[in-house]
Amino acid sequence: MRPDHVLCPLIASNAQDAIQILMDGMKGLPAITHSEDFLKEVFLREKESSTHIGHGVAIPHARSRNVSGMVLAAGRLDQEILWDSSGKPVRIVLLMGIPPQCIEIYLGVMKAFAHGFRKQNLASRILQAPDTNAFSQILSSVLADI
Amino acid sequence: MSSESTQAHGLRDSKRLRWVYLALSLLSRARIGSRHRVFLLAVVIGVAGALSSYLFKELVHGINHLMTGTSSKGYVDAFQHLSLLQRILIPTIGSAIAGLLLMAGKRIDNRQATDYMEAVSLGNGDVPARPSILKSVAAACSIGSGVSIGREGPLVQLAAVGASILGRLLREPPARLRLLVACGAAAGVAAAYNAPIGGAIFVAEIIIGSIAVESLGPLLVASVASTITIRAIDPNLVSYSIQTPFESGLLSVLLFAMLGILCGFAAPLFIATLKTGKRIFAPIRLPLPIKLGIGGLLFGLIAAFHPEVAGNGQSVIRGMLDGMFTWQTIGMLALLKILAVTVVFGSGTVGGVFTPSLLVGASLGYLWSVLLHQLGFAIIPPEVSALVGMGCFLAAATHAPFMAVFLLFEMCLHPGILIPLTVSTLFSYSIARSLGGASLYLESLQSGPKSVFDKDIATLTVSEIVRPQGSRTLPSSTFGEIATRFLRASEDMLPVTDPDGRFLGSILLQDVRPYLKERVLADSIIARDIMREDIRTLDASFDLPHALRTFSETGQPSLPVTDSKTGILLGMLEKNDLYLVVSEITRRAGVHST
Repeated sequence: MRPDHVLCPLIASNAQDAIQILMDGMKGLPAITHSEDFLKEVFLREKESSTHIGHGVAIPHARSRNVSGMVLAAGRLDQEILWDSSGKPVRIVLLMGIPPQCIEIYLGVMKAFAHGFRKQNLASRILQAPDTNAFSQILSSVLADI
Repeated sequence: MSSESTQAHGLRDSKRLRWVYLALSLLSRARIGSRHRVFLLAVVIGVAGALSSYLFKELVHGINHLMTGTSSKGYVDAFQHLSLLQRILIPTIGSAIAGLLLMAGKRIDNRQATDYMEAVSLGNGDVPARPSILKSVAAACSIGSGVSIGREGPLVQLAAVGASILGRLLREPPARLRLLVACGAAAGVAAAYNAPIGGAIFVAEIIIGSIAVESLGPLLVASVASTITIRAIDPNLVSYSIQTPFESGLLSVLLFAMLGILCGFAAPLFIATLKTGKRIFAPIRLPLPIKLGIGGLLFGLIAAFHPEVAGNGQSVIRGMLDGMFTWQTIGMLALLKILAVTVVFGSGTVGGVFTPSLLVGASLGYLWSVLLHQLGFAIIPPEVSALVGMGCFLAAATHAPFMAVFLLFEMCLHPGILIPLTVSTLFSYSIARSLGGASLYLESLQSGPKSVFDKDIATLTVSEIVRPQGSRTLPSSTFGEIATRFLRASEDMLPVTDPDGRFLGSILLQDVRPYLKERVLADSIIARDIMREDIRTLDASFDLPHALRTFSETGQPSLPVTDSKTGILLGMLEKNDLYLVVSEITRRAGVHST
């Protein structure tokens, strides 16, 4: 499993911008059947509870019928932004979409990221990644066992 | 304290702490399923049942001591030390006080009939606490005054009340609540007779009506817990053990089978006599204290000349097994006991008739052996025959042969009686059933409150057997909260609702089980992320066949129940609970049709 779209740097002034830009980067992916509806679901989920997970990372996501397989877009901000729903600083954004039936995959991915950021210094490795390719490889290695 | 000893203490403490941590960790990892939960509750109910039984027995002894002024724990012994007038007055006054209490109880709550035997009607599992406790105190006054009635009825009822209170506190659904009340009753019987298997079989065979593994397991757990507890706290337990060696042969088994036939005819007569007592007292329109007082007075007139009829009959059985009485005395005592129990029970005194039945059966068995000796068949010792007589009379009176065999065997633990007891019991039971009469407990069981189990299977709806939902899971509930609920409770599925209670979807244990211990996910995932929206629900207005079909189509062990008009979640229904309800209704329908 590897990210579908990686943006480094991601230039955004707030969470909504960041999500929108990453979404734009994934447009055209065959796994996304209705990108506008999917985006609405991501914002709805964000409204329900912040997806900021600490360590300067946010994982906006939605389990959605508008994606036929898991999709992932990642972005690294040069300047931290305040994540709207939590008001906390963020430099890494991972936008994720999962089909409704893939609960176990979703939990596996979330566990892998949560472990990585909390216990394996993943955030600083991403922030120090020299380019998009290195960023992408770091994420792929995290997702390798899922 | 030196630094070395401080260090040693510290090391020990840290080792202890490690063990405590390990134990807590193991405990937190153990997820208690719904079956394990029933077993754990059965243990609690068993222990509580034994304690309530012990307290009731002590209360009765205290009242007996207060009334008779003797410290003897045997009623016969106490009565033998009383004057003629005291033997008449004490049961009269005791019964009148019991009547006053019953009258007060009826004013507080008129839900229950005055009958109070060993078999509790399970109904919906809702055994009212206040009237039951008041009636138990009334029973303690009657029994404490020495009248001929068993104390086992109140023991069983008190244990059942405790179980019902616990089940209601835990908001158990009707089927589960009934099972817990049945566990209470089993604990009461087990504590009363020091018979763990007999207690469980008593409830299974007489009250529930089937020896199904689903219910027998919890019943056994409750009975065993109760017996262990009562053995630890009460040194004066019932025991009908004898030292007489006995090995049964073909001829003796045949002779015991004949005893079984005799008991099969005698038990319905005994029940008919008890009913006659009821019929004689029924037209008497007097306040309960006077009516019960008359019963106590009539008993007192018998006890004045034959104090051996006092109490439930346990000491007379013991004396019979120890060879203390002649056959003439035994014959006379049996007849007087039947008369005494008839007037006491007929007057409306609350209490059981189990031990008095044992006394009648023991007398029949004893006299049968004496008769055989007279006829030249001196191969059955009278005390062995008395034990077998108890069992087969009990089986015929209660229509519960398995219970009779197990209970008797546990009470005497004599290996030689097992075969003759089984054979004679089957004969007595068959004869009693073929005569078509009612069992000792039929009226008690039928007079209980009507419940969902008395309804027709096609008219009963899911809303009547649903388990109400406790705490609510909202779409924004965190994974930490969800994991805690799964780990603490026994659910396989957590329904998710909006703040107004409308059902949105369910979180399945099978989806999240591998991640429940992942603390890193506690705040980053919410219920909406992991709930399934394609879970079938049961409409509250579904009848049971419809609900059964839905369960078989989904394969889920439990399903959410909703109101189809509002979409509000009403609770959950477990497949096992549905099966219990269906099997009970089917069984009852079968019983009524025969």
